Amino acid sequence: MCWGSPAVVIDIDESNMLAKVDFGDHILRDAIIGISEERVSRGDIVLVHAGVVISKLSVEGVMEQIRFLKEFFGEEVELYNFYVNLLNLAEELKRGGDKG
Amino acid sequence: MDRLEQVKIVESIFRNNLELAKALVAKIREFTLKVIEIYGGDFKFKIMDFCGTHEWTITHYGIRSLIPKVIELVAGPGCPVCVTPSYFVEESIKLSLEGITVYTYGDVYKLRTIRPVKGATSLSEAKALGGNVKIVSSILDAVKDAKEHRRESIFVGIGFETVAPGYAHLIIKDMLPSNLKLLSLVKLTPPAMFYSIDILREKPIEPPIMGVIAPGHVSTITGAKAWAPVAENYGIPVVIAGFEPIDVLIAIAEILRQLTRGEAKVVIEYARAISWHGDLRAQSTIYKAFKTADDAWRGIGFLPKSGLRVRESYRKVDAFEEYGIRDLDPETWKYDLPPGCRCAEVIIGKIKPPQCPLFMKKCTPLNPIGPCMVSVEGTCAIWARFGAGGLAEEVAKDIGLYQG
Repeated sequence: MCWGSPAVVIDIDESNMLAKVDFGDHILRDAIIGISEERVSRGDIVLVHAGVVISKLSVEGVMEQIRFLKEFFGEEVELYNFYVNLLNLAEELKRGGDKG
Repeated sequence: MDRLEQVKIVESIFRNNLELAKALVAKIREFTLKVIEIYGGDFKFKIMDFCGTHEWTITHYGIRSLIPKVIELVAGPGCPVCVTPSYFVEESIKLSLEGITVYTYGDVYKLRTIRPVKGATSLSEAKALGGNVKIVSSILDAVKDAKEHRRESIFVGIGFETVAPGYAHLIIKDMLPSNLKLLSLVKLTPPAMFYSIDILREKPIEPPIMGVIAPGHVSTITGAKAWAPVAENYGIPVVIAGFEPIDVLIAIAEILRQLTRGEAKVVIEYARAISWHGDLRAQSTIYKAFKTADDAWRGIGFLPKSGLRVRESYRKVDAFEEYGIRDLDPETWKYDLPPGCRCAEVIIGKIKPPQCPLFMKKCTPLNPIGPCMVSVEGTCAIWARFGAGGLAEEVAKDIGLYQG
């Protein structure tokens, strides 16, 4: 039951703080927004755990993780390509989310 | 690109990154050699992973085969299903056989009790005997269903800090229908971590915990600050890690790096999801709806301030109140594991599953006896499915990553 699955926020019911999320199977499910509402918006990738949105993946957090890795490996750029891709992807998703 | 394909790419970045995995394994080896220089080579360096999902990642991806043998990864009490006292399952069975609809997560459905209730030793058996038991994956499913049938119902609210804001939100917003009551059995993780580390320190013949991989999802709510007392009081590094294999390897490397420097800090590896303070709204919602209580952990006993119960101001939703369910106290709690089962020691990282006499003999995934074999995130169930060593070691040897 502890599994946290990534899902995309498709819609938000602000009055009840519920989100419609899609785990990748194109079925919309309700999830309780357990975290601060201003943190969650359409197009965000969130972690959903037993029907509760408990976090979202943040661009800042990924950048921090890159800094963390650089402390181990210095500036070996090829190791971070995946992460750069992730940042680009997050940006793309956000633009899509804003368009609605 | 389809948005849902993009989600899969996000996952794979932290999963299928061979180059980074190799570099991290080399770093872990380098730090291990330094740590051995400091502490001596006859020492075992125990690192505790706390969350069932971390144990799953470690075992499923064969991470024990990738790290030097002097580093021992042990699983902590990170499965709420495993530590829920038998008594509460028995009470739920009783209600289901009295015609009350009992909603539960799939893992809890199969959990066996120590005492039979009218012939049933699990909610699954109760259903077979005509009990009204329904499996759900979220309390929202229970809300929806209970609104439709309007009969008396309870939701067996098992979980750690992660589910608590969801339950609390429904309570405060008055979103539970009047026929659905919550049996709050939520447990808090820091007290269990302190207990496990203490127990392992009390036994001088066993190596103490030298570092902790703290639970990522719990920390999204509590924040990294919840683990500061572990680093401060026990002088050991704590890394809050994500759940992909790369995350876990980074956490191990960071713990070892701190040991080489004599440091004991709380570090967030899972920065893409965790902050130092956690989610303040979630914490405040939990506080409004729940009070902390001394709570019983299955096979272990009472840990102070380790559980959440509904506050009196919301007692109209409280299943304890509605159905007169007596809460446990240290006098009434009795040891609640089956004879021979060593789940309690597995849960606190004292032994590994193969050291239990029942493991894969009488107790198997098809016929689970102990709670750790029932939940898919229980340590015994994970070891039964993926083992440790064996094939994982062979594969690690083939790709030149074996660290024997």
